[in-house]
Amino acid sequence: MWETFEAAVGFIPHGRLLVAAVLVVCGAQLCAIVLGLRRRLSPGAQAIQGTSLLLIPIVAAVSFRASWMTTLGALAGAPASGVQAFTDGLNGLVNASPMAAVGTLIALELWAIGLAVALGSEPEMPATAARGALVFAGLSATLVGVVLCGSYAIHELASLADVEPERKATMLRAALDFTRDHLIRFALISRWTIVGLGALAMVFVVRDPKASSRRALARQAMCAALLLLFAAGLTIVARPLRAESELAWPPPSAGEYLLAADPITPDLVGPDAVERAPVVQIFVDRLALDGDKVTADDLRDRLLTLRNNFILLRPGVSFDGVAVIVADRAASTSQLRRALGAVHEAGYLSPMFAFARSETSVRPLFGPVTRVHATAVRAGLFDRIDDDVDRGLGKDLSDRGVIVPLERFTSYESLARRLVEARRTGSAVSVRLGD
Amino acid sequence: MAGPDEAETERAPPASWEASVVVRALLVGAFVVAALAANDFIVHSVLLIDAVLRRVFF
Repeated sequence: MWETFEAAVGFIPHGRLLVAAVLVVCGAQLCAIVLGLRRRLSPGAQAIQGTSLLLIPIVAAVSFRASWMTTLGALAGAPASGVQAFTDGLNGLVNASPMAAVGTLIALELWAIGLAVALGSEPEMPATAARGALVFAGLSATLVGVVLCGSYAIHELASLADVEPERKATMLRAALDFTRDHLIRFALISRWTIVGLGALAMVFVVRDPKASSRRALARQAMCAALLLLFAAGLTIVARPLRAESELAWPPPSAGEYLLAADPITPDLVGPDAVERAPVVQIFVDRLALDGDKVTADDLRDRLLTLRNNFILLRPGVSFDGVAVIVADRAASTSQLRRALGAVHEAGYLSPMFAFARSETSVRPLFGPVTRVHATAVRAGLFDRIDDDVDRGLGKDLSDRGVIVPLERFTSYESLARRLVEARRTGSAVSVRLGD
Repeated sequence: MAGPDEAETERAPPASWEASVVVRALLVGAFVVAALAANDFIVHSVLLIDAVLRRVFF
């Protein structure tokens, strides 16, 4: 994680200057706290030295401007060098933002503690409040964790750009699990630091031999009540967030490619995984290709175009002829014949008959979220002419496996059941189109 | 860290030492509870981004 942080700093224009500014300002605030504890810093002086906090946003602004100019320059420049410059500019912006925000937050927290300590040296304010305020320094570990985990998450998200689509979700989940575990560890450090600082403040309280006036006690009790009210408010606001983050998400689904749950397919689980390919949807009243409504002729023409594009873009790679068939369970054999006929004519001879199942998970914050879990049956597709041609060429037809004649079935539901049944025996299965 | 509460003690009649300790301890405890609540809030706010990303890739 530290390496990722260093890399993130490397992406930021003037990144080392930004880190130095955060360290210098935070160091100055720590010095101010020490001076306040020794009663050498008045509240007014502490308030004025708080302007030093502006150093972080100023350096951040210079860095943002440099990143922004790089991004704009990339848009105006040559395309070849522009892409890299554009990415560099965005990387600068994305990495500098959390660093500047959390750096300012830590410095602000330290400054507020310094102010509480300085006010504590005034006769009007009880010293206990200043001692108590020190426990907020314990939040620093969590804030540092936010910066480190944020840098790591950004780095991992950026690296997903070069990853195959099917691996993205798994890699993202792994990165999120990693950052989550580490953030929780930093939060645990903060929790124990807060408790430790609280115990230390308590020791000072017990060892203080002086009794306070009734008025001072009343003020302290009021201050305690306000703090408890503040804590209660935060707890109430954080409750739904906590419920969301503590409820585990279901494991990744194998059918992640199929985003469409329409039409409603037979309630079956196929033995094969769905592959990335053109999706042919067969509704009882219409056809669609990748979500666009088409006629049977359009379907054939567009599949042909996709096939030609595949061959042109991947010279030397043999065309696999895979199309994903998502058909309505109530689709009739004649509707299937028309659609599968177009698929066959376009040269897609290895269709995958997909079965989609919606899976809904109710989340505390997002409510019901649905995903489509899809499985498939890989099949062959041929007609009588293919039979004649292949026989004429002397091809071995046994590799077609179990032959399922389309005309023997009255609906897709029964055809699909037969396909799954046959495929589950481990043999190949092929659909023969009738006349 | 000497207590400046003594200035007020001089102006008004002091409460008993036991009462002072209890109220001061209550104040410190309230600071601890508030800091713990703030810590929890920060962590779960950041984890909300985690949840949004998981939702997108669900």
